[in-house]
Amino acid sequence: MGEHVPLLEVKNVKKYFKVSSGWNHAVDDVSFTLERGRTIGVVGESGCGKSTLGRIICRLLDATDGQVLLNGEDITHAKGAKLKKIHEKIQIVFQDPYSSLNPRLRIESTVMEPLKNSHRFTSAKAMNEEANKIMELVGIDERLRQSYPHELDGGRRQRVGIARALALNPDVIVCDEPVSALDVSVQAQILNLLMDLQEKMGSAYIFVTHDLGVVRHIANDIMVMYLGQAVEIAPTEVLFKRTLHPYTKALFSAIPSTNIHEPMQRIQLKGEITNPINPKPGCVRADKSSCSRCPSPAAASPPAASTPRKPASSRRCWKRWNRTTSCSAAAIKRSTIEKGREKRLWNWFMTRANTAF
Amino acid sequence: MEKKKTSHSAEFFRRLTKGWSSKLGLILFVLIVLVCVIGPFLSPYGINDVDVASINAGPSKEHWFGCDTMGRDLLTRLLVGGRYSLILGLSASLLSALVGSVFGLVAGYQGGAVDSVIMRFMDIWSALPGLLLCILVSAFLGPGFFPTVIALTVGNIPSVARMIRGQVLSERTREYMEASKVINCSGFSILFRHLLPNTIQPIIITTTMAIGGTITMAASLSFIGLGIQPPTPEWGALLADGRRYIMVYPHLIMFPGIIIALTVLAINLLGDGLRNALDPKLRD
Amino acid sequence: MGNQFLEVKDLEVVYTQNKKMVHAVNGVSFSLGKGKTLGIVGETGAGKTTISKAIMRILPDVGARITNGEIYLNGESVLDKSEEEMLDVRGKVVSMIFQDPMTALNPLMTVGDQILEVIELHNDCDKKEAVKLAGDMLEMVGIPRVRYKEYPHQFSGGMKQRVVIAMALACNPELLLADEPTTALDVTVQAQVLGLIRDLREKYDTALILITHDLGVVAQTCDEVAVIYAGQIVEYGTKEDLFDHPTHPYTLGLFGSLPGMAEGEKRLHSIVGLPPDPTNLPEGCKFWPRCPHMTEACKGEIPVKHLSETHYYRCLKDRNPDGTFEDQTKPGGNENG
Repeated sequence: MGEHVPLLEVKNVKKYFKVSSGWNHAVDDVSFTLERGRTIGVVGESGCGKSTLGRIICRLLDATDGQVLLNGEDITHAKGAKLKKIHEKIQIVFQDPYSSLNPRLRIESTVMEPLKNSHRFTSAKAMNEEANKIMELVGIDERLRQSYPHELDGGRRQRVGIARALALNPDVIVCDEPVSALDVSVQAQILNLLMDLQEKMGSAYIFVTHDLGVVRHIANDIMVMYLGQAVEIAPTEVLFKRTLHPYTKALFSAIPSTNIHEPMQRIQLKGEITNPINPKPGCVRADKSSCSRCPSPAAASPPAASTPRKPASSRRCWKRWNRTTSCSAAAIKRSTIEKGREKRLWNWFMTRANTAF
Repeated sequence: MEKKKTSHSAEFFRRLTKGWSSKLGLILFVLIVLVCVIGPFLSPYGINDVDVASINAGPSKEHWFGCDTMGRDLLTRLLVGGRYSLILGLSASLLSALVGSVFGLVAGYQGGAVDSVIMRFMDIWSALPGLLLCILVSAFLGPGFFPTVIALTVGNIPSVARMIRGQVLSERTREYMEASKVINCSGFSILFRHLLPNTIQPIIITTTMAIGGTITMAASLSFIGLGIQPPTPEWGALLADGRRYIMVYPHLIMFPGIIIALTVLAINLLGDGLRNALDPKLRD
Repeated sequence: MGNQFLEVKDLEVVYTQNKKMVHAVNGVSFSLGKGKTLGIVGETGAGKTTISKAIMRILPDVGARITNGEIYLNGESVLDKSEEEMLDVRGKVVSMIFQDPMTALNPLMTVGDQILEVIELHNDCDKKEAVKLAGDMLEMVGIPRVRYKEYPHQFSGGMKQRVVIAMALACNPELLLADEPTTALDVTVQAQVLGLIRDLREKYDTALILITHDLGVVAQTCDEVAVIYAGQIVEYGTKEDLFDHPTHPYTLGLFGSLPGMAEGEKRLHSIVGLPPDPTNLPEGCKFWPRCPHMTEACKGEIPVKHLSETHYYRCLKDRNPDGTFEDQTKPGGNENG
């Protein structure tokens, strides 16, 4: 005890955003540890705070409360030169291969940028060689290195994003839904690539996704998040054998199985995902009436912390300090709404086209 | 390195002249500039040479574009005036684009209080009518070329700043901006390597669009006796001179009008071409 | 086979894009009985959406052309109908659900009025009746009637998709085209929406074409499945045919690419390379550049092989009795094709 320092330790991290109607508890008291060369999958539905958590870890966002320790060193509030050092150790691969690359930089320049910023290389030639090595590693063809991002398809762009993250050989890579924008066959290629790279480079992954199939394949441990809280953390095999938290159960049962002979037994959640603005004490799922464990929504007791990452699962259910929320689910989708007026109008028109003309 | 650069500019030029419209714009613009630069040397008349015999004369063999109310050769005055108008229009638009985009970039990128202060300031600024502001500045600084440039610049700054800020706000949410932070890009690099190139399109478009307006504005200033002083021929001033005789001597207003329109058209076509050439997404 | 409700024969659609010909659909034939569900599975750009738009006749006027093929609805040719006649068909006989519920609703109209609009266009009933009907539709998809006067932004994604479904079903269409109806939704919400579609289909005996890239969704919803690649159906069969005996190398590749399917497998059997450029499709079998069993002969004419009455695939190779090919599918590498 006390001897072993985990690679990454996240302790009671909280992130609250101010919104017009109060505080959005995007991440609320999340803790986990990650060892070298391992992968933790963070799963949950949209708005559960999983991406926010990833961004706090790679310091794109500042935590409201709690600590993130890298090799035992507190990096939660690092600034300046120290922050730059941390960014060389923690990197991120983004979800959208279309917006994560600067459209005006050639592929080679994009991959070379972190190398340039690190000032590790004395000559441009050495830097070029290093960049070429990385691009070869992630499988970017030589002839593509001078092209612009828009000339590449999603899978190849995502390889560029991975190359950029990998350039400085970081210890931790936050993968924020890196495959959800890709087609199945390309997705499989990227997943294989990520696993190969992990074997070669020994990076640890924090794999944020909504796809349970993907985490099952890639992760050693899984953390299930709901409304900003980690409701269940367990090793992958354990979780897929037996889920404890009712939300995890419902989530797992909602995945359409490809086994056609096994009729689905769905625990249908009634209602929609609420949002974590101004949560009241109580279980996060108290207003999802399907939760069979809930004696009464109002019942709430302070956290009886079941130790995280024990042999079995750790979970949050009604016996723990939790909360419920008021429902105005529209807020969750707000960002999606703003995505593109043009597309919206077009689709709206097409719907009209088929119904109204 | 050097070789790469030349191939870059060659490629840029190739893309610029790809479409027929931008090619036309470029040719027209170069032509107008050349004619304005060289033309006056070839003209047998000076700008203030008075030919009493042909006061208000229409186009003829001696005076291709006719003469004005004082018997001065209109073509010569147009060509010389073109130098002033073009330089005025270009420099004032470029200057306002430069200053405006710095305000817009800083406001959009910094956000928060800085943003509020800059943008409220811009609101107040743009609440004053453009022409009035122009007159105020011009009256304050006095007549002359440089004061006029500044007077013309001032009015355009808020609209440029607002547009760039909007562009920055939407670009800022894109993931590559986050990525640039994570890979330790300096603030300077984020602003000028990542943000600015992706907001350059509207800057170019507003700048080219503004040139036409600026030329007109310069004309208004000349008309009320501010700005560039007569007898220096400036397109706007020529237009204003001819305005009174529009019914009797239409050539006085027609030729300056046509040349202003042609210039603005050329610049706009060129602006489109520039946008295409600068946007890697529109490349083939 | 003449009594099928929907028949599509040798459909070919070509787009012109930047002066290049995009062969989006290359000879697709299938038929669908009343009340049946067909799943169309394929990757981005495979031509799934184009097929459904061709059936609706809502392909863009500029650039898209149906170069060959016939489409029959209830025995009547859709392609021969005039635009006015199509107005009666759309919404009343066929209707469509789009992928993104956020963009399919008019943000400035209340959801009730949007449903009302559809009803009024196709039914001759007075306003009062129509309003009541619109309210009924909302309740049918599980939205309380009191939310009639709310605007789309007050609804969550799943709720909006319900509204879209209510709009599509408002006039009791006989065929519903659902283009990735749940892709934009979370899994738990997806489960609800799929459940809803299933229930409604049973209740009204609506035929359904479900376009998706998710094999799980197909397995849980469809009776028949068409796997489509580069604008061609490469394998077609009942759900049982396809999930128990997938045969075409591409279908096998799709199953191999699914993560989390097989326990203990360290790597996914991904398909190497990328989907082909639709402006420049390979000769012969469209899949040969990515196919692990590729031979020279694949660049020639490819026959359609029938395994049973319902199950066919388009490949030169024969299938082993155990459902595999002679050489095992090689695990996909990371090489970039």
